[in-house]
Amino acid sequence: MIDRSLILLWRLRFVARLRRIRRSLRTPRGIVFFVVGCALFALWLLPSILGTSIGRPRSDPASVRAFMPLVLLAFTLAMSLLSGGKALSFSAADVDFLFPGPFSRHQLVLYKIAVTAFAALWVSLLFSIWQMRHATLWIAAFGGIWLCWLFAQSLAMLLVLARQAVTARHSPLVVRLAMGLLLALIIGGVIIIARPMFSGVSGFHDIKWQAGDSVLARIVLAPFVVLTRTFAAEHIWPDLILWAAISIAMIVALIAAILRLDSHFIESSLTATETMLARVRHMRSGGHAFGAAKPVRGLRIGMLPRMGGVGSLAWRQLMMALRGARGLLLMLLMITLGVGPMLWMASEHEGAIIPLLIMGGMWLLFILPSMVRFDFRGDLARMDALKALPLQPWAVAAGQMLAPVLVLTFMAWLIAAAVIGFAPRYTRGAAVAAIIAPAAIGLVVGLENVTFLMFPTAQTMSTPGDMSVMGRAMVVMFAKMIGLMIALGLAVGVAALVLLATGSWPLTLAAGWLLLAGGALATVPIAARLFATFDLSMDKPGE
Amino acid sequence: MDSPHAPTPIVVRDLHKQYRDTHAVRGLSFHVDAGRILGLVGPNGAGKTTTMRCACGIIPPTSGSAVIAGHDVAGDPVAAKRELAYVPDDPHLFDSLTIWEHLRFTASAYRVPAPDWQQRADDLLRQFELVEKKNTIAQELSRGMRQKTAICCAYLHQPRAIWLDEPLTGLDPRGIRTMKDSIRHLVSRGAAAVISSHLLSLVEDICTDLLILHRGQRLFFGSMEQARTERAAHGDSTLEDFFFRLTEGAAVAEPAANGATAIGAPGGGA
Repeated sequence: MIDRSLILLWRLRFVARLRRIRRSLRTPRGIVFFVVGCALFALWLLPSILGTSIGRPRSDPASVRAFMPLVLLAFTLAMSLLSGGKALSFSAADVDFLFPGPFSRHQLVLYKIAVTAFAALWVSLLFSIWQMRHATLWIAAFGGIWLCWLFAQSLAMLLVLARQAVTARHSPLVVRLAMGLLLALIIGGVIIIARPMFSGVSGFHDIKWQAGDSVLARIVLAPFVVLTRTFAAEHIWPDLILWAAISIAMIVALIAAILRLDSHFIESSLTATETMLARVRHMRSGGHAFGAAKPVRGLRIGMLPRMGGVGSLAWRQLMMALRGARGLLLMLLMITLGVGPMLWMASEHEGAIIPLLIMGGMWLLFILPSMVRFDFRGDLARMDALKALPLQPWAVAAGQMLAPVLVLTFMAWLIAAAVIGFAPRYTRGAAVAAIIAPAAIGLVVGLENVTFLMFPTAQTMSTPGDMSVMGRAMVVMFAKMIGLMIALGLAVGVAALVLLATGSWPLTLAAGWLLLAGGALATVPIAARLFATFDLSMDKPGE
Repeated sequence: MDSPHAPTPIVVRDLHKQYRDTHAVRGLSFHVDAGRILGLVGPNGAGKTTTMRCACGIIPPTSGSAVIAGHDVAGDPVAAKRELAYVPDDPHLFDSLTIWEHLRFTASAYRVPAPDWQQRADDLLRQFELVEKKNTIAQELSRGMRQKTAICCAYLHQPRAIWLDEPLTGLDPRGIRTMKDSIRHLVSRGAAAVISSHLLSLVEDICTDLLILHRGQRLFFGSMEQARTERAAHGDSTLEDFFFRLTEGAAVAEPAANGATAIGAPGGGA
């Protein structure tokens, strides 16, 4: 059983979380963030609630029972294979207080599972409301999602422990071979199960969202059929009670297996926790979310010209980008392997490439700059060091923001080269995009940094259900979007006027480019001013 | 005070810890009697923290054992951990809990009964000058205050074996004085302490015994008196000279003439 002091800790932390939310509501800014967070949830969930109450048709239970096991299988596979050791990781304080504390491994395992189950209640509540129209009973939807979440988490935990058990007994080569074999089996299994869905399919709408009837499919999908039956139960008794009981029995079996393997639990947890903390530190110091925690040694570039300190700071950020290059290289590889063939296929169909390019542009302008954080955003922990540098604020601002502009511009040019290589008919468009890229990216990076300096936030582990955190993220995103839309709108408007007046495309391009570049340059003094007034004692958020 | 037949608070026997390619600790043995303070010193990467983590049951040793107050850490971890306290070099607190809530949880975990723990907690807070901060959440504490909070939590259940990794980091002069006094007070009541530190002056000032580690191996283990005799015999004027001669000189293992349990060297075992 779970030790009573662990239950006390759990209660204290829950109360402390409520206290933190209450404290955040003491400032006008905190209230705004909270209200926006609540509004966001309301906007997300209200259509589902209203939809079911005003009689919008619900999904046919039979079709839910047919396709949902596949969705749950995909979700469980993703959680098990992609979560790494996250399923076992604890907070740093847990490691320092609980691991040397008078607790058995069983107690710590059960505590971890209980905390996970408790946190999943909130997620399940939201998802059950969101997906209500696919279920007959809300309580069944809630229970089904919660049990599915627990099943996936327990399976992920079991897989990490099993891997640790194999690692402890066998050489790294054997472990790699075993993991490769397991992965091959999973991929093979998924292909066998999913193949009948695509037979005779000519488009997305023809896909048959149900698995084949092979023995393998039935065995693999059996637990997910049980979980689906819980979700889609049409009556409390016997449907929901019985299927939920079988689901609970499956989860208990997984937990029993976890407890049998728990001799590796402490060391696996410690490794997983240290990896997670290293990842958070890496993100706080400018790395992107999926970047390597371990920097690649040996890579270097020559010192840039000083330029009032701009070059020195940009060199430092570029070195960090380069040393954390494994993640960036992975991204570039994905672009090359993914975008190229997609462009080639799309170029065969008239008009198909335009949406693809728009999506690519949006990704480059909105998603990627939030991930490549080699600027003020990654230097929150080093703001005092930046403040102490004998440099003008404008030089610090320009030096800090130059590296991500260079890195992202390089990536944009790579995509433009891929377009020219794989879809030559769009060479002119790609060339124009390549010319505009540095100015547009400079503007986006500038806005990212300005909003960051106005609302500094440290990268932290996610806290599910924290309205203030969600609200803050939304407010910051809206501020960025509004700034970007105004600047882009102005650039497009002026460029259109120039085109109307002169009829010259080069002049139009030059006008648009100059406006974007001007906007980008304008963010430098704004960021410099915000940096100069950044108060370390007030503005630096808790980490 | 402990009875004369009470088991030795800390006994470590033939401890090995191997990560994939690294042998972090190699055949380490030592013990710390009640009322003694062992200084655990060694260069970076010597295996000090790994030794502490293994001995406190945070990570399992590859082989060998650690026994705390008669309880084997691997065989009976809960009983062993009830008798020990470990303060890491950079203690992490629960960000959203107050200092008092940390103490409340610790009292519950170590089964310190209700009227006692509150009295002890108040005494500790007074001793470490945290009374005014008792309702402050950990996130708002300075580095030194976090360190003091972790130490208060470690002392609350009056452990028989206390392991402190760089305990003075972040403390102000008053805090350092309090820390030293508190360790002396704890061991005077029959506990044993192990202090890992790079501050040789601290070790010389407070410790009664010395263990020098280098690349996971024991280079010296004995009392400070024995260390001083050994120092004089080799013409080392300070503990610092002694430390550098052992860790950089890589002397060949020889039995010590003065009764120190061993003076080894890399490769010599201990």
